[in-house]
Amino acid sequence: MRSVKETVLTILANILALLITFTCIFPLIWLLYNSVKDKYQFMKDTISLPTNPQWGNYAKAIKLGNLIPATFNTLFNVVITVVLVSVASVIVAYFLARYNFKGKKVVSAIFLIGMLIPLYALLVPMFLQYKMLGMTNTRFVLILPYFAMQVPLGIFLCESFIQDIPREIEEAAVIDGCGLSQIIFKIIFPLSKPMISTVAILTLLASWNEFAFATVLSSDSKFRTLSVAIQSYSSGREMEYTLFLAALVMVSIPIILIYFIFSKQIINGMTAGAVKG
Amino acid sequence: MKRRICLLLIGIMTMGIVLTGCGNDKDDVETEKKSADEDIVITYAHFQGEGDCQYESIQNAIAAYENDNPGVTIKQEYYPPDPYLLQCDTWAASDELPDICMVNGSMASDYADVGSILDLTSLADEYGITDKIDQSYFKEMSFKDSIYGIPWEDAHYAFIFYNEGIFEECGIESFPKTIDELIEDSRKISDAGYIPMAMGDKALWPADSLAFSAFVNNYVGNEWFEHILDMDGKAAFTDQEFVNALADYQKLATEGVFNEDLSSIDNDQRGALYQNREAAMISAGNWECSSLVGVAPEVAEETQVALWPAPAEGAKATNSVVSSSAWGLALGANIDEDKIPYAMDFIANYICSNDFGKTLTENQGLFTPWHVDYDASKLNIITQREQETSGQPDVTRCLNWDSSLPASVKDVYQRGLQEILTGVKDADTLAQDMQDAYEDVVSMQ
Amino acid sequence: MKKSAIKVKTGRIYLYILPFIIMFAVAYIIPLCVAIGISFTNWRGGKNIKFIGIDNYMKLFQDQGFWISFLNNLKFMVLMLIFQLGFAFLFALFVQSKRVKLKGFHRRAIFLPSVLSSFVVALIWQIVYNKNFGLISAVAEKIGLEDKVPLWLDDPKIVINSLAIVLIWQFVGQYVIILMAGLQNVDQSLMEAAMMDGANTFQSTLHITLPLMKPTLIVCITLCISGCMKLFDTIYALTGGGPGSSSMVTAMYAYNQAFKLKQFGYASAVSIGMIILSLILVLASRKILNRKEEV
Repeated sequence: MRSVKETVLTILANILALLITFTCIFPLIWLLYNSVKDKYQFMKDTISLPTNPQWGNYAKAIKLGNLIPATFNTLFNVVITVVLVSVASVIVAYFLARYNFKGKKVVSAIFLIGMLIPLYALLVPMFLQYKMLGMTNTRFVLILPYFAMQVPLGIFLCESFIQDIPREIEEAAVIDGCGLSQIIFKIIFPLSKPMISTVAILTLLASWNEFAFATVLSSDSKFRTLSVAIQSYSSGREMEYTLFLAALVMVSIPIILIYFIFSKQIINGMTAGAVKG
Repeated sequence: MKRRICLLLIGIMTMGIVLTGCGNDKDDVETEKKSADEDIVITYAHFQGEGDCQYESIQNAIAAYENDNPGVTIKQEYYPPDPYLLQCDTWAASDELPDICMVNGSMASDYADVGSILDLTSLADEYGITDKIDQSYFKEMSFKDSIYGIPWEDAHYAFIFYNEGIFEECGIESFPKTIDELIEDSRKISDAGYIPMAMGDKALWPADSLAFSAFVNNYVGNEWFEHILDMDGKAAFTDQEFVNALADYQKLATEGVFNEDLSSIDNDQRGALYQNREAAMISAGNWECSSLVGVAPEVAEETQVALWPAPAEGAKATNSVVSSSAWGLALGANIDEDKIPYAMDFIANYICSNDFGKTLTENQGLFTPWHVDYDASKLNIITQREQETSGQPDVTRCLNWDSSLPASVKDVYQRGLQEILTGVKDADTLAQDMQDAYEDVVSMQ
Repeated sequence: MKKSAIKVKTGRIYLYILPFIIMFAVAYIIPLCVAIGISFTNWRGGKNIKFIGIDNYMKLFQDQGFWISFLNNLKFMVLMLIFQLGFAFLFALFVQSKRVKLKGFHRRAIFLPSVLSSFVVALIWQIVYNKNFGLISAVAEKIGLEDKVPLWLDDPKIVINSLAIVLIWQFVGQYVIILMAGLQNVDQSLMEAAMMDGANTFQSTLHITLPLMKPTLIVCITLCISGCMKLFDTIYALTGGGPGSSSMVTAMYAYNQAFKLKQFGYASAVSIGMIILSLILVLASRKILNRKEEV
């Protein structure tokens, strides 16, 4: 029989949790219902529900911002970056976590400094670099910068994670006759799934919303990314708010969906870990 | 073994990425070389998208030009406004500006200083542009007495929209003629529950260009600013008239003429306050006329246009209003010499043309610095009222002076205005800071 | 460090990691070197560029504007370390506990704010904080406290705190998922054993979970410090550094120097200065935390 105290505490705990998550969800709901508001109603009042829903706002927003090619461009960049960063993080982290080798400190330092560089410091140098290589406004130009932006964090996260993987597993594998690459790909990768999913999600997010490099290196209409395209709703002096919100909804939804898919990985990984105990 | 191949593949993919990237551009260069024999391509970067006022006029101009000049294409590169600014600055820094690009006064000065855009003085003469457009419009687009940008707008701003209906409600019979009267009337307005004058200075330019530019001119007069820009030592920011202007502007905030949250709301939001009849006045620009009529017709009916009051004593000018071209067209320094005639022809005869201006004025309520025959009856009522007010004989036309100021001074100036309005700094300190920054620049000349 | 399971030659290790190091170097290290080079000049764009030695760095030392911005970064850092990490950690544990239902829902929801781009976050919080039609003001009006509502973003004294609230809300989810992934390595049975021995939840958390999470926590702290030094997007969108310069941060200061004042040389020096300061802070934090372990 649960005591009254237990029940009250449970209820309070759940209310608290719900309040917190409500503040996290409400903005999206707010975005959703304001994106179909009539332009004039939005200017008057941003809190109440729309009285004259403009479902056409979405089509208008897609057209004005030319969002379809932009979505494709962003997806392209992001998918490749996520794959590269995930693979690189685990491999480099594995060696940093398990081995002492010549130049290890230098390698670590290089990636650490990379994590500390403010983006805008590199903007003009990067532009000059890619301009010289003739690579500005090309399909692949953003891949390397996005990779470099995210890989240090990925490495450090995976490093701390791999350090906790028991060596007995590897030792057992060696006894079974596994070579180095088999250890990495057949053992470390599968076991690191929760952290890989985490790194993948963080990389996805940062690359999806990144706009400084995207503007300077690749904002020619053909290769323009979403983060640049969604700035098309202001004319420099005035802003089309409702269309902008509709575009923001469309920009946010893919990531939310992908996140939901990936978060299953993390949760599954967690359950597996607990059982492993 | 399988995994080693996998790694190799990743390595190859990496190389592939780098090479394909280079490859792409090589292809473009080859196609361009081919078409160079047949077609001349002029790149024109701008931020006028479909929703923009000048969009229609530009598209018509390009179509007309290409029609009249087969073999020449104008390749438009549209960028959204904020990315455009960042992109342009990056281009200018690396001397990579396109053939034609949009610049404002500050950009014209900065890019001219480092040689990223062409000196257009003789070209403007040659192509008859200086005949069409009054000399005063070129001032903002000039650097060291040479023209670097062709102005394409006659923008009026820093005038005041005021809601006559609210004024009547508060017992104010006519628009205040002095700053003191303005402050007094504002008290009546705020007592009645309205915001006297809405100001949204988050982006730092509204408090400056959209209001202070005309406000301060009433205190110091056009000549004073000319001395500042000429750097001849005859005017200083620490001069009493300028300090008075700063102090009185600060008073507008402390006496409650402006809303308290002016530094965190942006220009659009302040416009919304006026459109929603929550504010009695805004200091505005003529590009806002047509949207006011479109968004809030009832408020537009009640809206009248007035100019900034002058100080009761010591005013060096009265009824100042900014009349300038905020933006203009410049030629990038890398443009092929043979392309220059085509680019100039386009600008001089298709942009600076009657057709361009007529569409702009009749459909959008904006004006051009060259003469245009348009149908005055097509203008919306607010534009008409604004034209009436600004067209009176005793009006002082002034420029948006800060766009010709050196960047370091302008930065102290704009941020400083926000600081005095939010009580972070006082007028004397700001004047001194501006003078210090100014003297630093002067000493390097 | 314990010996690894198999012995691998250095050369073979580099076979695996060199491609990635090269990619990283080309993408980031080369531009960084260019930036360092620029920092020793007075480049303002265009063709004129003159080597001026360490003049920019001398100027940086005495630049009040920069150090005030750095102080703001530090203020944010302290607030983030305490409240954001603290909250993230508590939330990660909280949602693990038996009491709370709908665990999956909560875990997913807390992450949603970090999905939004900074434009959106700024837009939303602008509307929350707005004096005339904002959410907070509306609620305050209903309960009659409308006079007590502060000017969140306009009062120079509290603007940093108001911004901190936004940043905490925006990024807490990232830390939660990192901590959750790290938590899974913490053996639940250890906690249960301790509790059976009489320790309450608080004690077992403090003495067992926390130490086991150390590597993850160190990464989080490093991420927090580096993130706070690089703060830009959200602050730029919400206040632009204002009122005046009350919420100016170093990354924005460097940006202004480069793109508003066109002082690319000096701006690079500011950025390099930022990297050095971040490095000092990160290394210091690691030293402090690792020393605790020896104790």
